[in-house]
Amino acid sequence: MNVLHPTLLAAGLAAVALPIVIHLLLRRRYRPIAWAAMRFVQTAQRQQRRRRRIEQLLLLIARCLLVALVAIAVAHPYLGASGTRGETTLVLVIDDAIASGAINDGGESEFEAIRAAAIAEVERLSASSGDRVAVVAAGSPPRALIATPSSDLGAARTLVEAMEPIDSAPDFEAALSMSREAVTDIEGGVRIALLSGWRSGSLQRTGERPDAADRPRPGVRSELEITALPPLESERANLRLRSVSVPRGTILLDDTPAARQVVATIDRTGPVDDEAVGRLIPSVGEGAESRGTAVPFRIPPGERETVVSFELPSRPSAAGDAPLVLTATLDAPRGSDAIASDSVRRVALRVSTRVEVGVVRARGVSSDESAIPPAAWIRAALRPDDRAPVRLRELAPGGVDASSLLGLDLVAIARPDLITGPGWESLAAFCRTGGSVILFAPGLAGVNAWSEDAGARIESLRGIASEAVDLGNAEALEGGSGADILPMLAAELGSLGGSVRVNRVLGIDAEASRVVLRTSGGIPVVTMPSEGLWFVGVPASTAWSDLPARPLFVPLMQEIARRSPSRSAVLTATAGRSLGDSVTGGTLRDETTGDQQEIRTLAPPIAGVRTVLDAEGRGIGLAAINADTEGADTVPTDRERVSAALSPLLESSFGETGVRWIGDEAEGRNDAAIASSRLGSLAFAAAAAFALLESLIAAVASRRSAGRVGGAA
Amino acid sequence: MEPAPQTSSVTSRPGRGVDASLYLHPQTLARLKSFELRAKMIVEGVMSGRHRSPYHGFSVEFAQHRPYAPGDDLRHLDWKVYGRTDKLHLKQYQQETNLDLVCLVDASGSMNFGTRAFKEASGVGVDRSLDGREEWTKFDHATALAAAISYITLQQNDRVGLGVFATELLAIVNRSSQTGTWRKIVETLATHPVDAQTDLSRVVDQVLGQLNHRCLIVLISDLLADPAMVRESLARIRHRGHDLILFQIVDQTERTLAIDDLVQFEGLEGEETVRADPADIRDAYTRAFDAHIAAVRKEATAFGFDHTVVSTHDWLGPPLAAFISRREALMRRSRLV
Repeated sequence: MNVLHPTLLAAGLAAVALPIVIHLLLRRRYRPIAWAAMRFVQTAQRQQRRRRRIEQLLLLIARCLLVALVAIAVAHPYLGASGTRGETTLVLVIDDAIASGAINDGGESEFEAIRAAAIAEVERLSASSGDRVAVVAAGSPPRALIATPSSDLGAARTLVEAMEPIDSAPDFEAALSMSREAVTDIEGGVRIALLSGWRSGSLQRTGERPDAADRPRPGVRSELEITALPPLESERANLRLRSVSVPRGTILLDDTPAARQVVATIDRTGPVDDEAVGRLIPSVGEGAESRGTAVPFRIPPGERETVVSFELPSRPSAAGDAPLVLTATLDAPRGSDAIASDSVRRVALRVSTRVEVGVVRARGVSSDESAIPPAAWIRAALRPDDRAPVRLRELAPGGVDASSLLGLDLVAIARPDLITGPGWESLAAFCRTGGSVILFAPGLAGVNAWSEDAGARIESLRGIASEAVDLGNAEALEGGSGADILPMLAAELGSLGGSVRVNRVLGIDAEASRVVLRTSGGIPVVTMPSEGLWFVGVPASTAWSDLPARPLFVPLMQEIARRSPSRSAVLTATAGRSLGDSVTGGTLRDETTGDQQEIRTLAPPIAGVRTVLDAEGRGIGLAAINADTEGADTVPTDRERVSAALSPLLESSFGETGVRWIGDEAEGRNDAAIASSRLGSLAFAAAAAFALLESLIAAVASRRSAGRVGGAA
Repeated sequence: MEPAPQTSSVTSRPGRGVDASLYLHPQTLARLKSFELRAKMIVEGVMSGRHRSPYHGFSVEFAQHRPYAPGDDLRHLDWKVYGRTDKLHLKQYQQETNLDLVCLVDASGSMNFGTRAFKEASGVGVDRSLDGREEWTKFDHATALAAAISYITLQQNDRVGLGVFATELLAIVNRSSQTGTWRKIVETLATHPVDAQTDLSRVVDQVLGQLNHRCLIVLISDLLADPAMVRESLARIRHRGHDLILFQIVDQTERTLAIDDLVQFEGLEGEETVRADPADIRDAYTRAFDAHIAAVRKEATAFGFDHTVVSTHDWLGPPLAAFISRREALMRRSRLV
């Protein structure tokens, strides 16, 4: 049982001491009197002591209960869980993710309802009762805005009032984990309030960690209560710019229109009965002059998705190699687009006038003077004519060092077996700073001892086999699972690779690499073990295959080279999602606000363009952060679905899966108020009964004595 | 009761005057004058008087005839009856003797209890006692009763003695019928009660050791002692052939425990204090008190002694008169047998 006014209850219960004190005080008021017949006094006292004690005890109990019951009645008792009554720690898990920012028909953000619910929860607390509150924002990455429960309820309210929706999807698992940490050392009642509109986007990430159910389950807290806002039921139409794809991440000055073609995918959530129309406005960089021509789009009734394409709005200038950001913005009527932030998508692009490639040539090593040396094949493929935006520089195997690699975007090594230990060290550092390296199998007949040297310096090369595999029958090449690394070529890999015959391959661990090309037997041939590091399992000669002589080789090398310019760090990521390993360090700076954020595993939760700074604070590139469109799914859910999605997370964090819906709680609270009234009346009635009982006991005792005195007198 | 010390142990207060009116209310004396104080038994006395001796012999007053039994002294045969009836009868006579009265007054600590206003009880408008008390104690009532009985007895020219006791005899006035005896008695009764307990057995032994004649003993006490001790004492008195009148002095408040406040009872004879609400223990207390009185009465009656409860809130006259009247009736019935 709990009470609405614990202070009154405490004061009332303290008043229980009054009858006890009065009882004790009265016991001391004895008037001394000289008496002769002490024998009979002692006899009577012995006989009456027990009865008198019982009578006094009953009187005392009746009086104490009388006071206590009045105190309970005044304090408005009610039956039910502790809730926020008494000394309670409330953890507000507020969904400030992108879906919560959906605009309703009145032009108001649905987050307002969540915020109001959060404030209402805070207002139900009482600092004087020792209530405390912690606040966790569930949008990815979850943030403990008040990590340690605080009794400063006003500050918590101010904090909640200042919250605004962000552009990432919620991560309730991490948020609940934070909530658990917030209350780990807390004693007393704990209430976890999950405040979300529970649209489909809010549940997108709840099943991302399948191992959650296998984790050790924490002990269930008996005084834990988990409540949640019920799911919003209203339909909200929302247009999402799901993707904006550019053929290459690097824009070269001589790119053809095909290389400048941008493809955008637009879909919609919510009702699909009506046609959705709008236009897509592309722009590059900042300023109105960079805005391209708006591209209209239309999603017919009953359909959810459409694809539009457009050419990159403006040709990059030749002034420099600074990266730029392509921004695509949906312009659609408000009623069809509830969430604005998912209607903008940014793509960070490298811009380069040419690709600097260093080719490591092994002079005088080949025994076959008539054969074309591998480096020649490579040079020919990289610069088939003078118009190719590729500039070559020859490097000696023993001269591979930091100075020789300076200014290069790509290093092509036909004979990695000739690279020395210091050379591998320099190549490893080159890769870490964004440079690309393509290694060809050296064509050795024996053991490839060099792979150990290489693997010792560059971990991703440890998967290279020590001996080549003789295929017996020549096998053709076909696209692998990582063919999309080279999007301009992906569609043609099958036809171009089919003409290649491979007899022998130096293999690599396919599990640890992205396979662009493989033999028809499944042996990887062209792979990317790590970002910017390529490995070709056949020599750049015709010894093991005819790859260098086939039409595939030139576009393959061209695409690899055009993907390689490394002098600018560009990053396109989704708010709150993993950054991957494309950027391994540095700082992101918001040029608008000046805020800086160290690059971690997760992208910032607010969409926008950030400047990538190196360790010295120099700008080295751009990062385009996009809203998480998966989290922007506005389709309403229901309680069953939400419960099913939350149950494993709650069990993982709290060992409990039960959720009480706040709306029901309100009804329950009304019931509790009614029950409180009834309980209060019962308490009053019981108090009256005890008052009557007390009067009867006192009257019987006093009448007996008074009657005797009167009779004797 | 001879020889006896002459008030050697009396603890009279210095400078305290003797005023018989404090003990004998004029109304009391006036009412008592109309009654004869007669002993329950006719005791053997050295003085002739109006009291009859139980010894049937050759005295002045014929008592009765009885059939001759072998072994009887032939000198007592009534030959006239033999001549007329041809039957042998002996003549018996009653001999008049003097009544020796011994008053034993309890001066133990418990007798120092009283709740009645002195002014009301004294009957002469005195607000307080000579030692400043405003309460009329049981001892005051006992001394008044003893003085009254002594006065009446002396008026009949019988010998009167007095003993004041607690754990032992504290003061003694030898039996005498002289005119100054009553003054001695009153002076002795001015003894203030002490705090000691009552040792009735010891006192009775002391008294009986000094009595060589059968006497009427008037024992005036609150008799709060154990009834077994009372029975033992009464048995000794009966065994020695003495008669006894028991006046049990009680205070009305003491009997009814009519007190409203919470009180701490402090014993007058050194008993352990008791804190109690009189209302709580009143019922049990009065039951125990009444049972005690009934037990004492039962013991006295069993030995043929009279027992009268005298309340300090009542006049002495009515209970004394009623007692003497009933005693006279009993004496008459005894003579007719």
